[in-house]
Amino acid sequence: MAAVLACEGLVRRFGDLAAVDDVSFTIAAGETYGLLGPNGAGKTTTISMVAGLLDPDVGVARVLGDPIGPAAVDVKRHIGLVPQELAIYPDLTGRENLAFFGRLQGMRKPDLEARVDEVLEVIGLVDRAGDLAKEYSGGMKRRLNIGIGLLHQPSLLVLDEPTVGVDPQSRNAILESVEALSGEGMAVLYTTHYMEEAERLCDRIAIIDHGRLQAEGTRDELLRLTGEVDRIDLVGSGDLGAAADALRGLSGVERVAHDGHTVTLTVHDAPTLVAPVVSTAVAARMSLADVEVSRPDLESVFLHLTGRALRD
Amino acid sequence: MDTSSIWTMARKDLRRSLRDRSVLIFGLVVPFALMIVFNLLFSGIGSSEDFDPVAIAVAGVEDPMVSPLADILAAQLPMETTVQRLDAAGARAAVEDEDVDLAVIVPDGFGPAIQSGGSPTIELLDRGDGSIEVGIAASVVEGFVSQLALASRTAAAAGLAGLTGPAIGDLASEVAQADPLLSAVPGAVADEQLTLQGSLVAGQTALFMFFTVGFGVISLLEERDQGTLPRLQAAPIHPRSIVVAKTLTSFVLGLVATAVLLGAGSLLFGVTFGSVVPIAVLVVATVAAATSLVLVVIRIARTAEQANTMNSILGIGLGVLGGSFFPIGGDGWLARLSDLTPPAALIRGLGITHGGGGVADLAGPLATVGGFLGAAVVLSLVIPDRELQA
Repeated sequence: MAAVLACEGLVRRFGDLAAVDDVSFTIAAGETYGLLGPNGAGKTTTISMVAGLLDPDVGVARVLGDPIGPAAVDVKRHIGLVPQELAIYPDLTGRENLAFFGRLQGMRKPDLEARVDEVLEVIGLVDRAGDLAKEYSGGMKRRLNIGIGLLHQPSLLVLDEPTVGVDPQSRNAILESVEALSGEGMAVLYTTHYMEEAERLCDRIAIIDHGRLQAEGTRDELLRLTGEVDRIDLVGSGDLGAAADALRGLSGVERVAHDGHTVTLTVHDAPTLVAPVVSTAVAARMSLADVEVSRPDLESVFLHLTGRALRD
Repeated sequence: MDTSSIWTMARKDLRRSLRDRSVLIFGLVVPFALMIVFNLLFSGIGSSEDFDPVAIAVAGVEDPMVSPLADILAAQLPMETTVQRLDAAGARAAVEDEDVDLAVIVPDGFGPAIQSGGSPTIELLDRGDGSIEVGIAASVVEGFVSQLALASRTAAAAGLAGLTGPAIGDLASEVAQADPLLSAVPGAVADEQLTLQGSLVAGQTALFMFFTVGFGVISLLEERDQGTLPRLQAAPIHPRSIVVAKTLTSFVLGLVATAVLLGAGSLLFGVTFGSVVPIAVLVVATVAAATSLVLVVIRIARTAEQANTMNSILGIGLGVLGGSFFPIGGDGWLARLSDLTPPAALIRGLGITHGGGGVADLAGPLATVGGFLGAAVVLSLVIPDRELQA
């Protein structure tokens, strides 16, 4: 299947910092591709180049075969962008917001009006279409933000962390909408630092950290990279750094990472290791509040690839 | 560039501006309020009601040649005037006792002396406080004396020409009482000078023009602050279209606010600024110059808040310098600098149109705003666009 988006060796530097370093991937029509990584990993800079906001220093991004950049006006018609920040006008109504961005995409009446009505239906804002956006709840604003991106039925929809700060109900509605879009043949580039969103939505996932793609593949392909290891999370207080150091010395423990309240271990055969792990942590003066054992997931993959937790 | 996209963005911004109360407040309400306040404060300046009453003692005006003087003083001075007829000693005493402000003492034999070509002296005594009212009265007396001096010279000339006896006296009397052959017509204010109310309307309009145009271009920084700029940049429009649309918004807001302020101000204060066409040309040019200044501001400011503050400071500074509140007179460098500002050009231009001037007469003000616009546009292109990069 022909690629809707093809990124070839994208590099973008800000001073000495390489925000994006040699990133390449493709997305086919009807495919949802996830960029999974922590804040500051390079996701938004990658998206900025894909959406034509930034020129890459090196490499090229092509949409339907044509290079995209700030001056590529015609190519931008194929792209719908949903920025991480709410990109709506609070002092315009929901309908006015949609109509304005639709006109910028070249849509005109009566097609524009019909399409605005369709999108209002999709995002569940028909009843509130005439209200100013500043009167919407956070979830409603997020849905309007997404609705603007898909109004002109782009070939490629780029969503940059669309569920940040959204209540669970609205979040589920957004995820269902994205699932429906890929089912309609739209190529979707979806960035997130929520592992469960990437697992649920994405046909393929790229793990990005420090501006570089660490790995790419389907969920199962990525899980295989870990060697099918399990994960143990120790939640508690005390000197977590000392506990992590002590746990690294245990046989069967592959990697250890910790943040403010949790020590995370990737291990082979978690059930047999839980007891020595707990006693070692307690011996290292960690006060345990909870112990959680889980099978491999993308969090484990990220830990395996980068040596740190996704939430770091 | 796609003009349709530019108009779409400008229309959106104009709609948002109409919903923004601060545009209405700073664009129309505040300038009107200031016009009214300043009008109340300054409308009394220059009226005759500000003169104090004056008391004058006259002595020796029984002589037929000088008898009209007392009536002239009583009737023709611009302030309330009381004239007392006293003898010479009484008049002197009245001034010393501060019962009167001025004493006019005509010596005995004044008339005959004039008729024979002599040089008698009228004595003027005042209290020495240098009041403007006494000065005006003294000027009137001196004007009257000048006419008598002409009569005296006529009599002297007649004597030299061989006339004798009563003929010389008759001739001198006729000259003294005749209307002057040459006269100065009281000067009217120059046509190009706005009235006090006209200056208030023009000055406040020029000042607040800077605030109004700021609402358009500065919204470019607001777009970035609120996150909508990336979405505009991702739309299929030329990157420069966004700035052009914002500039158009500023220009339209400035034009509308200026037209409303000048039109409503004219009706409110009963002033006229002349023909519509030259006024329109002048306003379009001045609004363009004010808009160009905001293009410089958004290059320097990092946030919309910073830009608004900078724009306000520059607007008020240029307004004060340009004479929005008080004209800067004299020939010093401050006055020359004032002449180079758009507010000064607008006020000066409206003075010209008020006096009946056409577009061709506006060459000076138009050159001023043209130069300002050119300099600001060049600056806005030279200053790096560091903040609006995505």
